[in-house]
Amino acid sequence: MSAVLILLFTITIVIFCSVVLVLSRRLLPLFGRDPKLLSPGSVTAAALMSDEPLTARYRPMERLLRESEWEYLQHQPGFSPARLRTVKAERRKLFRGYLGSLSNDFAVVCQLLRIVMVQSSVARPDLAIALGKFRLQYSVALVKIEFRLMAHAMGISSIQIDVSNLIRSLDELGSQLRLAATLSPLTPAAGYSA
Amino acid sequence: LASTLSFFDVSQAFIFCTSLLILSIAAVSGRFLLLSARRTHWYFLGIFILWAAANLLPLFESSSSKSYFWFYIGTTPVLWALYLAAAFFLYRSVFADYPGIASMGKWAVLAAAVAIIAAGSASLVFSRGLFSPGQLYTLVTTIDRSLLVGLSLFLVILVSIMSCYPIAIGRNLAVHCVLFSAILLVQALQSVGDQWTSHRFTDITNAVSSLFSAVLFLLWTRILNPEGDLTIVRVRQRIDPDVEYRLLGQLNSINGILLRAGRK
Repeated sequence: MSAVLILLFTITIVIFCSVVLVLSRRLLPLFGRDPKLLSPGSVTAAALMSDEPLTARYRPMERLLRESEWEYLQHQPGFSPARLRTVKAERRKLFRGYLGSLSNDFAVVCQLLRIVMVQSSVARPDLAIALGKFRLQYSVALVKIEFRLMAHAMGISSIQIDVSNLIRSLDELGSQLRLAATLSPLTPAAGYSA
Repeated sequence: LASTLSFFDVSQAFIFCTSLLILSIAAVSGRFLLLSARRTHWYFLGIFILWAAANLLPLFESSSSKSYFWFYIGTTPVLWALYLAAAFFLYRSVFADYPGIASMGKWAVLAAAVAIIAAGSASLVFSRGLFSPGQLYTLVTTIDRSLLVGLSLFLVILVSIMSCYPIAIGRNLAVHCVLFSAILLVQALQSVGDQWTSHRFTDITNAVSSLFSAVLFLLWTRILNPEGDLTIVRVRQRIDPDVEYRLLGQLNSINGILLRAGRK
């Protein structure tokens, strides 16, 4: 009987606290706190509207942790295993830097797409579906990469770290934004201050 | 935890939590009466009065008495009407100026309808000890539980949309949506939890949900303010406003150039 009771309490409290925690982070302006703002990074209007993909600057990521890179380095004279470990750690750090920047750009494009939806005078379920689809695709790819990076740090360097899904998600979302922005003029929304 | 609970005087805790809840409802009602938008959100006052009465009565009458039974049967349908009015007006207030995201609102309504049907069916299928006071009680309790689950889900989705999309709404309206959805969620969880345990721990679940609700009511009282009716907030500001303004301006300029080039 006590076990059921404890289980019930735990489930209730966990569900309630999770919902409150998830939402409270997003509802900071209501409590007079400033939310953490994104920096647009490489997302500029020119980059968004140009024919060159938004993700061009992230192409080096694909090479950073490639197995063939280590093979090349190992064959260089005077290259020790300790030096290789240091290079790998540096490359992972660099990779994480790129990943953070990519995620930031993705969040900015998502936000701009949301602004397009909010300012549209007609219902845009197509954009809502595209946004949901690419966000899910991006999140899944990001989780996979995080696990692979952990494995890589543990010494399993043969593991492939594929960033093509992340880059594709950002590219396709950028295309959606480009198309949506071309169809309807945008104005900054009201209500900036809390 | 089990040994701690055995020392815990449930009836005293229930009286304490219920009294705290009634006081917090009175506080939020008082705060609400000071707002200029109190007429717009009239349904909240009705809900507060009925909630306070429903919590006050068990302190003087046994929850198994006839008068409590008829009070429950009489006021619960009125509460449903007020809940639906609240959900409808909050939905309309949030989405009225944003047709572009109206489809998300419709999906939320659909999800709530499915949740109401699913919760009602599950309540009937898995009911244990629910039928003892009669069919009328069963009917009212089943509808109440289903409606609570569906409406709380709907309001949580509404708050999620508000927190995801850069929409500008009245500050107090956002506060009403967040706190009302949280309180309904607590009630829905209490109702479902009470059924899972075959109503054996009703006093304990009531005490816990009263405590959570009281905290939420006090938070509601704290955050509401008369200026909030006039202040417009953008619930989620993800990009620096200056940067966003510049970015959108640049996009528009490039669009304009492209359009003019296209015409030539």
